[in-house]
Amino acid sequence: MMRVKLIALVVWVCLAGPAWAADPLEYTRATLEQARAIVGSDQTHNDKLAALSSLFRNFLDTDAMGRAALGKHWSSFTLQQQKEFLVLFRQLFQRTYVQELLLFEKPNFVYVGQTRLDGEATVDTKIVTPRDDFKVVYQLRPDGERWLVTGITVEDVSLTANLGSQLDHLLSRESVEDVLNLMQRKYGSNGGGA
Amino acid sequence: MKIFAIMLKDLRLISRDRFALASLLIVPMVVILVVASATQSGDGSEGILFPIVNEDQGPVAAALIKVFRKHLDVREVTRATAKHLVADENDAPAALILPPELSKRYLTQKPSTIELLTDPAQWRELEAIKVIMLLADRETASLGDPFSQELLAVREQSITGNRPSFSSLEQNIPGFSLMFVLLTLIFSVSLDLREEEVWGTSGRLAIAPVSAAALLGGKLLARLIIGIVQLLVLLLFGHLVYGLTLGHSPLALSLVVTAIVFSMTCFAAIVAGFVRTREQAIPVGLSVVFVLAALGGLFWPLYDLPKWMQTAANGAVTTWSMFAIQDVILRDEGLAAVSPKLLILFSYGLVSFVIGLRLFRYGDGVGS
Repeated sequence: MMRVKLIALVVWVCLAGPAWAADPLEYTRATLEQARAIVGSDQTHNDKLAALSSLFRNFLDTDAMGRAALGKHWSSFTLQQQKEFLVLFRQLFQRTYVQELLLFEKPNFVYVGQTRLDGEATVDTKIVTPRDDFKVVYQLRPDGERWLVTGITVEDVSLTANLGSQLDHLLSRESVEDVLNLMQRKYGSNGGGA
Repeated sequence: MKIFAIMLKDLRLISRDRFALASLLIVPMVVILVVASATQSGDGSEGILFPIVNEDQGPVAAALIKVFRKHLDVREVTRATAKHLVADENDAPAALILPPELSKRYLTQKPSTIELLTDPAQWRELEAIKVIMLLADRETASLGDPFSQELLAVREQSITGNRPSFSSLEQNIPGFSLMFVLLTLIFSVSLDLREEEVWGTSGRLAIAPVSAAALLGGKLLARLIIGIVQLLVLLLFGHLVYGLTLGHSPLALSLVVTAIVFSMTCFAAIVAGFVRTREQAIPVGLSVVFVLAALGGLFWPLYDLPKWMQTAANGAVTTWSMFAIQDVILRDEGLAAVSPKLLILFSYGLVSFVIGLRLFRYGDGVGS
């Protein structure tokens, strides 16, 4: 029964996804409102994770963020390692973002506004809780008829930069292979991760 | 044939004491029931009160509290109430302070320090809490800490004494010492009264111009002195051999020991009032001691007991004895702080003495 519900939710997420949205604010709103519906549903934690990951697959440009997070280390990875890293980084970033979102039991998103510059856009949002507001800013770039998020800033701290500094710290002590193995263990197809 | 005749004679004598016969079976069953309830039917860690001061009110604090609620009796309180529950009431082994901005710092991957205010005297409960805190940290870490950094550091602070932790010996030595003092008192008071009847001295004392209160009081006073010396020597043994701390106030320790032995001696008079023969003394005495030791936290911490037993424990002399001795030797409290428990123990003793006097039967009808 749970599996049927999960499949239904994933199908709904895919069908109801913002097929076309010229406005980055509206595009972001449509995605986040679907996320809110998933988080607020009575699904299990793992089912919510799966549904949210499916939703954000077409919203987050994790390849761009992965390259940015590696920074100077990108060139020290072989082509094969770069490919492996981007696959694992997609899992890592999605799970990090999704898990953070799941910390809010019923997130109340407020859409503050948008700014556009050189074809790219910034959408300012807030997650409002009874006690506090959490400022979340999305940087987006157009991709055909949709928008892709190339960076997320929570309370003025960039998630990409944050992960980048952790990766930098890891790579200063361990080899690329070791770091990839660590990510594989945590976020690979056989890893625990969630 | 003579051997069987003697056996039959003894069996007839034993069968006349129906109370002793019943005690042989009923008493062990009662002890087994109590011990089984204490060891198997306890509420486990769910019975441990865990006050949390939620100064964050954000999603990370909510996630942590949600995990704690699965395993502990969580109560969201103010900082003052939390300290009161841990330091004054000793109802909770620790309180957690979740600081303001905890969620914001966590979500931006900045480490935070959370305070754990502890009462190390409740070391078993505290250990259970620490295990659950590790679990909560792991569960919360999986919710947004990709490389398992130490985003939550715990600063532990004892608010009931100078030492941050204790060994199991420091709980067990006072517990077992109290149990043996109670055992000695109950047996010596019960058996002494019955043996004087056998020796015939009770008859002579009964017709002496002395009141029942003075007679019983004098006998109990002798046991009181022996009990005080016994408990002091046992604690000293623990101090010299195992490094048991004895607190900083010899006066408080002396008064606590006196109050404990006083209440136990007078309580022994009640037990002696129910014992009619020497045969009854052993099963009745043993059952009372084991049940009170189990109820009063002399063998294991009170939180191991089911709720109804924890409530019943409030009426046990052993519970208040253990509380008082822990206050002095583990919490390093002085006379002023321990005085409410001293008052309870002395009152317990006085009430027990009055009841014991009512039940007192000596010689040929002296007393009641």
